[in-house]
Amino acid sequence: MPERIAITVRTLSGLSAPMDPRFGRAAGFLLVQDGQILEKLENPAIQAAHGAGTGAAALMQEHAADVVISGAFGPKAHSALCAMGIAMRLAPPGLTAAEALEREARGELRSQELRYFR
Amino acid sequence: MIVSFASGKGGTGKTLLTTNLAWVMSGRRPTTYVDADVEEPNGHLFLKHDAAQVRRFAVALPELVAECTGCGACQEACAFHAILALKNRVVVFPELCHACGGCVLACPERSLAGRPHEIGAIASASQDALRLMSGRLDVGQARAAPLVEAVVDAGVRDHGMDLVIVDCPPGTSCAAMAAVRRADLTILVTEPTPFGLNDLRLAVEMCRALGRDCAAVVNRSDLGDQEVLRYLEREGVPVLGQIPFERGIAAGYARGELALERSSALRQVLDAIATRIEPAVLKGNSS
Repeated sequence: MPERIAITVRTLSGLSAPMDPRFGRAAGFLLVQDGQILEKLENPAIQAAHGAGTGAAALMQEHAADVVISGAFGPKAHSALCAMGIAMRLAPPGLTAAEALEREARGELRSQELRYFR
Repeated sequence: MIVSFASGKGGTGKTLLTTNLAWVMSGRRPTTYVDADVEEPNGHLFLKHDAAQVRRFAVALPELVAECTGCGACQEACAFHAILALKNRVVVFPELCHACGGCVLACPERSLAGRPHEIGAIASASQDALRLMSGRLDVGQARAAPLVEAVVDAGVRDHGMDLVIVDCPPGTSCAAMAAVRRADLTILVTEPTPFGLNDLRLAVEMCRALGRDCAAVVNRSDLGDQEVLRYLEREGVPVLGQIPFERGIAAGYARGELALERSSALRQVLDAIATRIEPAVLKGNSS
């Protein structure tokens, strides 16, 4: 089955939207498979005082993402995504969602390494 | 009777007032001074006391003790995203957990149980009619509220006819609310500056949201403007006293001395507070 890729975006307008460099406090997520948007997800955790990272990770698990692309993952989001077996890819800032996905397809994005399991 | 001293803004004089008041009142009746500013307790530096008894304080973090079906009920129950359900196990984030026990109750398999997790300590000591309780949060702990609640509860327990004076943490966060939660009267210590006013407003709103009576003391009253007094009048918050800035108070405080001997203005304010709370204390009024 093709990978389900989630990417953090500043707006949910579509693949031309700028990537959001943050994971837990991203404005939203595009869930993409085979270059097609499956779902546009707002991030309910963005206003949370605490737990935005783990909340966003729970959303990724709920929507069965295999890979998440963002600019940065905080330590708790990192642990949560590791435990869920969801891969993390780091994209440089300033890209659109489409550009980040192209780089991912070419295998150019760095993985955030699985450092430890809780 | 339980009197909490809160402030909104930090550094306005909560500890100055509470330690001096505790000393004065303990000459008249049994008094408990509770230092609920658990991130930096310092009241014990001003009040003479015997050797302190210290006990560790723990909250209960969830732990998987039986099979997990990965149903997600625990994750659903948690408002703080502190527990995540995987296929057949859970991941707990201690730094996010508020130790409410909601997930333990929510688990349909009864597979979660609370495991003690120490976050700080409670010290108690006494000297004549003065009892001291002091909470201290461990370095690196993020959540003070459970310890604040515990130290206030320990101070209030069996207080009977006693007076309990609570030195609250600054701010209006969960920790500050935990400290005023049981107060019969909350005295807001403020200063006549824009910062003081801004945080005083928040503190008054906090008291009202919690249904707590409040009054105010204006410290360093001659250094700022009139806005704080205007605000208090407009809101109907009684002003129990004003303490002008005195270098002698600051110098004595820096040496860990009680300032009431050296400041008549401070003594007047302490008298006014005592007058406000004595009738209630005599009636044995408690919450």
